[in-house]
Amino acid sequence: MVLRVIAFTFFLAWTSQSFGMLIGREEKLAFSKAKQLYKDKLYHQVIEMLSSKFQLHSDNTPSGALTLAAYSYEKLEDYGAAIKLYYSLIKANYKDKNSEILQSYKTNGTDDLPEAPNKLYLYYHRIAESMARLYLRDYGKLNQNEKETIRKRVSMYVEILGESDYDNDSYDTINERLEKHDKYLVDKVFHSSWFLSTSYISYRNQLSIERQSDGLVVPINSTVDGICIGGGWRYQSAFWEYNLNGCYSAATMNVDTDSSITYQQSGVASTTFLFGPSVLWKPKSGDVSIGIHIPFIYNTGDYTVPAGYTISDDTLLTYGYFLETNWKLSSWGIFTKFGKAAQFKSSLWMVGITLGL
Amino acid sequence: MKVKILILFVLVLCASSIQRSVFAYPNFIGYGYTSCTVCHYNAYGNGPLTDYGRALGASTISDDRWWFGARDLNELGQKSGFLYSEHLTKRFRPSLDYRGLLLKNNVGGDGSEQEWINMDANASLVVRLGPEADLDKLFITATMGYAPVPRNGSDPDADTYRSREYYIGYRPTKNWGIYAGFMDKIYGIRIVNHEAYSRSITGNTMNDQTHALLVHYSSEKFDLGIQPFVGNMGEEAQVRQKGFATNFEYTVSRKFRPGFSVQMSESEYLKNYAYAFHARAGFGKGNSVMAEVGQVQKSQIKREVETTSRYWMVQTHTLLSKGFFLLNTIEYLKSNIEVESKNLKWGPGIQYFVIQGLELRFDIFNSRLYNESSNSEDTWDFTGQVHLWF
Repeated sequence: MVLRVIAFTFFLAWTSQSFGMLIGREEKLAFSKAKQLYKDKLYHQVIEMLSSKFQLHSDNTPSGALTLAAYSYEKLEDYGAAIKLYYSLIKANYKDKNSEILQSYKTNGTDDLPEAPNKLYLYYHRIAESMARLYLRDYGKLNQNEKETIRKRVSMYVEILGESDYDNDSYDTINERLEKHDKYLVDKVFHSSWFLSTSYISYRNQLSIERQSDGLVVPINSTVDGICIGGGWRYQSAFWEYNLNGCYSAATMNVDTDSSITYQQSGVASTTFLFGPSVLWKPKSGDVSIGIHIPFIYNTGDYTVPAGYTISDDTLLTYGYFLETNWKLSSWGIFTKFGKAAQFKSSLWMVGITLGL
Repeated sequence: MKVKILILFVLVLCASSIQRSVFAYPNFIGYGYTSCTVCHYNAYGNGPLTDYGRALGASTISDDRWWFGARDLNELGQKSGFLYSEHLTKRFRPSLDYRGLLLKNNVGGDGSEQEWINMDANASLVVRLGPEADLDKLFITATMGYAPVPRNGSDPDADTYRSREYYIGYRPTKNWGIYAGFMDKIYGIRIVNHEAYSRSITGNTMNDQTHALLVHYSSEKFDLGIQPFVGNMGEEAQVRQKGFATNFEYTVSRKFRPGFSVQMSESEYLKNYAYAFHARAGFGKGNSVMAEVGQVQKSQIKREVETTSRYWMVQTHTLLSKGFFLLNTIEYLKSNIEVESKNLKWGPGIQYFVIQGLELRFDIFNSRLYNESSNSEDTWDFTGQVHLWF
């Protein structure tokens, strides 16, 4: 930015001297007013002022007026008009040198490019910048041929500047911006795929045993851990993932009570099925995602019920809400889920791996 | 001669009782940093940061939005020296470090308590004795400060001022490093939480440093450390654990490093043998997954009792914005593999490097005990941590 200001100041000083020699008093006055309007950021008025005294579409118009108009068109985001003026400036001042450079580029690429005046490099820079901005803004309106032409031209000017001793290196970012834009267009596209999963799961049931003789109800404690095998379908872009996933777990648990009814059983079979959607955000548009998983949960246990007692909630259909995080490496992934299942005691955890199909 | 006097001075200074703060962040493999030596003087992390480590912390790791005025990353890096200054001298690298912890245990349960613990407050000095072209070729580092009496009651009269690190380091080539002095054992992944099963069951918690020699080879392909040790010379001779540790990590890719470690030691009463496999993987920028699985055999020599424990640990870091991480730590411990009971702990948390020199961390630990004969309630603990370093 600082370099641009310096370049512009230099340009104004230079053009002011030139104008004194080449044009009449009225034109000189108009140009001075246009410069002031530019400083005041009144770019429409700059164009009007210059158009009133100069032929902006003529190659014979003084360079200072054309350049100031081109800068103003850039500010007004009329990049097409700006580009035309820069080409006019090149044609008027550096026609032969420009032809020499472009011919050399066409023949040998960036090898042995002829040297050029700094001013010509400045015009190349401004054309590349204007074309890039036009490309980014009007991408949806441009046809494929126009897009390819702009990309080729921008690439050519940036490469030429890269081989020169042009001192304003802000042109470095032009290709990066275009590549970032193209990557974004690819990244935002959603696509779907299937995956398998296996995980370690841990949870605690919340059920109770009732003594029928007096109606005394006490809670049963249980702690379960095992493997949960399943898979799912995901629909994802580089920024978001929506998926439906589920898993089936057959585990054993130990259950007991710690109050006036004594009940203890080991190796109780516990079957759990979880299925539901996940919504995941990819904070760095990459391989890591974080979000929520809200599954339906079916759980049943093969409890032995003593005579004279009943066990409630030994089979449940409920739901849960979990914080989910995923890390993907190629087709493999690692995931964790931590949260709460309604009607379960405490928390439910899962940590596992996925394999994309 | 001057060098010898300086070495002697620092050693005398440290010999009384010193300690080191743990701020090794092995999860920074998520940024593509596979080896600790880039950022730390200690070849296996923790302790004083190198100039590069400080600059990296200021410009890349910590959030930079809170600085007043416009500060570019280069400026932040340049002013990452002692107390946010540019480095005043070439030869000396002082630093200050503090960690405080708010602990609320058994949240929602009977007897829940809340307390503030000053875990560590220390001052460190690195004296760089290398030639002008490579000042860190030879250095002495020492840390001294406050450390609380251990909570496990093992030594209620323990000094509250101690050192956890002082050693001489010599790096004759880019690849080789030799370190002699008082330091941590080079076992497993040095995660920050010293209460983690992977650190406590293996004898690598906050006060388990040892006098040792460490030979370290580091290359793009692998890191190998061999560390014979003679125990903490400040302890009674009969309880000193003497032995060796080794740690190997292989670079499969810039962001994936599996490895293994072994630790064997023995005192008059206790014999330890631990081994572990571990892996660190980086995902995208700043995200990581680390895992360690290991087994420990402890033999009480006089009682002829042997216990074998098994553990695993997974810790994940998700970078949500610059300096701000979501953590998950999942730990498993089977204290005796011949008994059915086992402990599991799940610790979701957040970690925020607010600015260079200020880290905040909040964790919840949900602990669950599996027992063959009975069930016990889960416990929930909360910790809030402030870490300052200058």
